[in-house]
Amino acid sequence: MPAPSPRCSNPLDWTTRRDALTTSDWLRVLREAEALGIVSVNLSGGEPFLRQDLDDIVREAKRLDLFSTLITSGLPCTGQRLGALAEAGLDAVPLSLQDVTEARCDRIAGTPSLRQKLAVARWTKAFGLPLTLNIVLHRATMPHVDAAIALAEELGADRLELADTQYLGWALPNRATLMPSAQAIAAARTLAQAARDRLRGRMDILFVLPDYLADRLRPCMDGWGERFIVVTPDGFALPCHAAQVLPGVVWEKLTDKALADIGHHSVGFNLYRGTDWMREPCRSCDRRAKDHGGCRC
Amino acid sequence: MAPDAKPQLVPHARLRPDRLTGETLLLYSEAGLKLNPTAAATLALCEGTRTFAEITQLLARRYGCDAAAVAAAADIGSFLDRLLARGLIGAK
Repeated sequence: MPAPSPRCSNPLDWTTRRDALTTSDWLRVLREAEALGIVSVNLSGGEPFLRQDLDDIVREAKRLDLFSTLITSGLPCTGQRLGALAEAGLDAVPLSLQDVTEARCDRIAGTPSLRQKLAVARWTKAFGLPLTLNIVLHRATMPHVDAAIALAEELGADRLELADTQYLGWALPNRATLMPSAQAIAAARTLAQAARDRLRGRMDILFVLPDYLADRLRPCMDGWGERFIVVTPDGFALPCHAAQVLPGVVWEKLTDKALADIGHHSVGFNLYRGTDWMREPCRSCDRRAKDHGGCRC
Repeated sequence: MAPDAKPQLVPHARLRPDRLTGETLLLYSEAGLKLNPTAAATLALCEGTRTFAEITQLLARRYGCDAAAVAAAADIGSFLDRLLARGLIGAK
């Protein structure tokens, strides 16, 4: 059961959903995905460690030469399980920290978490996996960018992502609480740039601006049904994590149909594919093939 | 990139073909790069055994004349420097 968080809209109904896909279903989905041209797989959730067959899934991904990334809260992780996954061929474990001190991190996460996450970071390095730290920036964490950089250095992170909250979905109505001032963002960005220059070749530092301040729309999902397929624990194949909130669309399950069939022919995957669905002003916009009418949501 | 540096992909980045287009992709944590044929040929030679000078010579021989080799060395050098800065290759 995920903990409620003051920062994000964690789905809290996972306990009412059931894992519909068996181990052999997941292995079949990986094979079908690779045959469709998929090259990497993110094992996310919910919390992927709740499945006991993660090793088998990672091993199949390795056999198919899919780049496998485990996206975990780190909370149910043990050194033994992470070691087994590294052995099975896992490629990467990005780790999200809600903040860089125990009190602040645990308050946002809604549960004691920082100490365990730091242990996961150290195991990740010990097993020779690349360590990416993600720190989500908003008004409360923006002033801690320098501490985040110091922590990433101390942990030997290969990559640090300082990612501003994107003001979409849940964050948009809460932007009055979450959005830092433009000066705070500029100051943090300057710190990140200086660290990036200083640590060049040792740690890659990425500073992601809020799209609210960018001059162009983000190309949502790099195009609907073009690059990403989300498979939910209860077996649905979706073109976007949030697709199930769209009204009136019947989504299809991988227990009923092959991935290629759903991906190519289902109504949902074709809803916003290409440009024919667009209305004005998207339809005549020069950028329609670049940002894919990313404002539709 | 120094002529005697021996570049090598880091263990957590790897090359694989894109099944749909035949292009080579460089995959790494949470991202990937689509490589043009020269970049793909360059990285395939970055095994930590050849020097940068040897790699550019091999590529020049594959792609053409001496004048091309000079231009290629500059392009390839800046490409590899960018990957080095992002921690995707190491150089001994």
